[in-house]
Amino acid sequence: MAEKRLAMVVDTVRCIGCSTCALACKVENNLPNEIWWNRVLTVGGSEIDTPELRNGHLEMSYLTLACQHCENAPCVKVCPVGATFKNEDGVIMQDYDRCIGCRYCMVACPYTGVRQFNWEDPEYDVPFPVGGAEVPAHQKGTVEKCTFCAHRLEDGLEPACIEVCPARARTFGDLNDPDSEVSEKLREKSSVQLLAEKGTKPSVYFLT
Amino acid sequence: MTATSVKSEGRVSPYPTWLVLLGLLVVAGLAGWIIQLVQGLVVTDMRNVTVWGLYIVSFMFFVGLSAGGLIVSSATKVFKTTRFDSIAKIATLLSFSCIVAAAVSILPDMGRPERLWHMIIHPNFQSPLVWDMIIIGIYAALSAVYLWMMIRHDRGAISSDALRRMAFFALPTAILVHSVTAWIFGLQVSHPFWNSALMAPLFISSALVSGTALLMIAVLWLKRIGYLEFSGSQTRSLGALLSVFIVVDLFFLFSEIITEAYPQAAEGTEALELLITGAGAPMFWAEVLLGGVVALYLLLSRRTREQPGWVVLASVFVIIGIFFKRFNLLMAGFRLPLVSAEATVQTGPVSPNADTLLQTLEEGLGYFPSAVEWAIFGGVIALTALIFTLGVRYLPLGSVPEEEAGV
Repeated sequence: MAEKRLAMVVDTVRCIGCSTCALACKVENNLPNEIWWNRVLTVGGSEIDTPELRNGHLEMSYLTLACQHCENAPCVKVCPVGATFKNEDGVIMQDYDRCIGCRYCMVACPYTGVRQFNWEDPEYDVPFPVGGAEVPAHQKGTVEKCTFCAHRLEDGLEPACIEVCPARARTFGDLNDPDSEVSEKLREKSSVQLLAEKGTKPSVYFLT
Repeated sequence: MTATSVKSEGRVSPYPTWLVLLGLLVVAGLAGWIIQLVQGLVVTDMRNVTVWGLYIVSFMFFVGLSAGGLIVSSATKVFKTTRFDSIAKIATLLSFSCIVAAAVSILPDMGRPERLWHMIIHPNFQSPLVWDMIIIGIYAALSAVYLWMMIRHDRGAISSDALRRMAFFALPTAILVHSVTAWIFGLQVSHPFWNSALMAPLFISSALVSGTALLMIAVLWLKRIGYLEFSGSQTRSLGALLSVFIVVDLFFLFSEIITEAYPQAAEGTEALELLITGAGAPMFWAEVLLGGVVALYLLLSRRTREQPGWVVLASVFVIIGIFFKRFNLLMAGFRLPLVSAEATVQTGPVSPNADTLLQTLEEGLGYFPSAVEWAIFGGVIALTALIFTLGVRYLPLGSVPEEEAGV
């Protein structure tokens, strides 16, 4: 068993769907055009920011979706070359230099679209790299995804999406530490894991 | 399969034309692959949700097509029948050509084909892709060795017993190759319709169906050019075998569908609607009606079952049906994402299918292969035919003595 089990807790009641987390992620990880590791989904109508009729009321909520860093990760099992692996803190990592671009991990992942493929040479709207200096260069023909900002964790920081959230809906920490903020929140409030019935044991929890 | 007249009778051989045609198609496929290598997989219609497409369909399809040969030729040895001895070598050559095509189909699917060797230096033995690489390698080697042994056997250099022992290895390997290919999909919980214990049996039955149909076409063509002897009653027998496989395959399909339908649970119902009345319906019904009902009629009716023309037509229907089945299986999985709320951003570049017709098809199916994908698929088909044609030409595989065959 790993010493740490890093996890993220997202409070869907506090979330206002502003997409700041998605943007901070995009900037911090210098993501190429059309690549998004973290996205905000509208749980409601058939278009973004539209509600649906539930029990006679119009209702709408948001779901921020990125890699769930599963304890039992299907992507790690299926990767033929071990380019997708779990590090000692329970974070699922992707080795761009080893990836052969077969996309089996994307097929095996039940959380549609959290893994992204560089279909063409990475292109950027600004002529210089942005975000963390230690972020590895993006490569054509390889798969990538959220790393819980592994480069920031090494410096003792939290992932970029945590601190920018204006609604303070996102918290990050070690689940094996009973005094951590994430452990506390999970004790206090009811939470769900996405597609828990698939047995993947995600490390991202949504407070409801 | 237009190459019909022969040197010995017609003087004009279509053989060079056939080779040039295949060569051109292979070159077109290679050109497509080069374009893709330069620009990236953006030239395909695959995107971040429809992650796999025609290349993987082609892979499944050719793994299946390779079944007929080796299973027919080794099963006859294992069960000691001589009914199909005259086509055993051709059948094995066909298996070999198709399994090579299956392996080749994977290359253009890879974002980084130059890193293929990572599969050998860093294999993850938990991955069904690694199992498949191993079993396909063994299968290709086995079919090549088995073919070589049969040729040596004809010359009296190898005993029938040795051949039979080899068949005992070949048959289970053939069964396993389809099972492992099925498990690439069947072991995944990520898509509705895939995670089924029936997946491996279904892949075996579909493989037997399409493989036997392809064998039938190849054998009847070689008979027509005077390369092989294959009687009307042998045609009928192989047709009967094919019919049994079709019935078993349809039964498995029905069993899968009723299992999804009966609980009336949302996931199963959605997948079924997509297949039976939705975007996949034209292909599904073509598979069941043309590749199933019509093919069975042609193969079993007293009026058509010994007529090469009708039997070949039935076989073509069967092969197209299985191709559609593979396509639908892949797409049914991708069309029903498990997390499907509306996203703020579109991930991945826009589709290259700007042409109106292609766009319409794409909107219906959620994915429609781009021109580059079709070119590469065509190249893979041509490569298979090329290997087979050259094998037929240069290896002593016929049952008609060589001097009479004139091929």
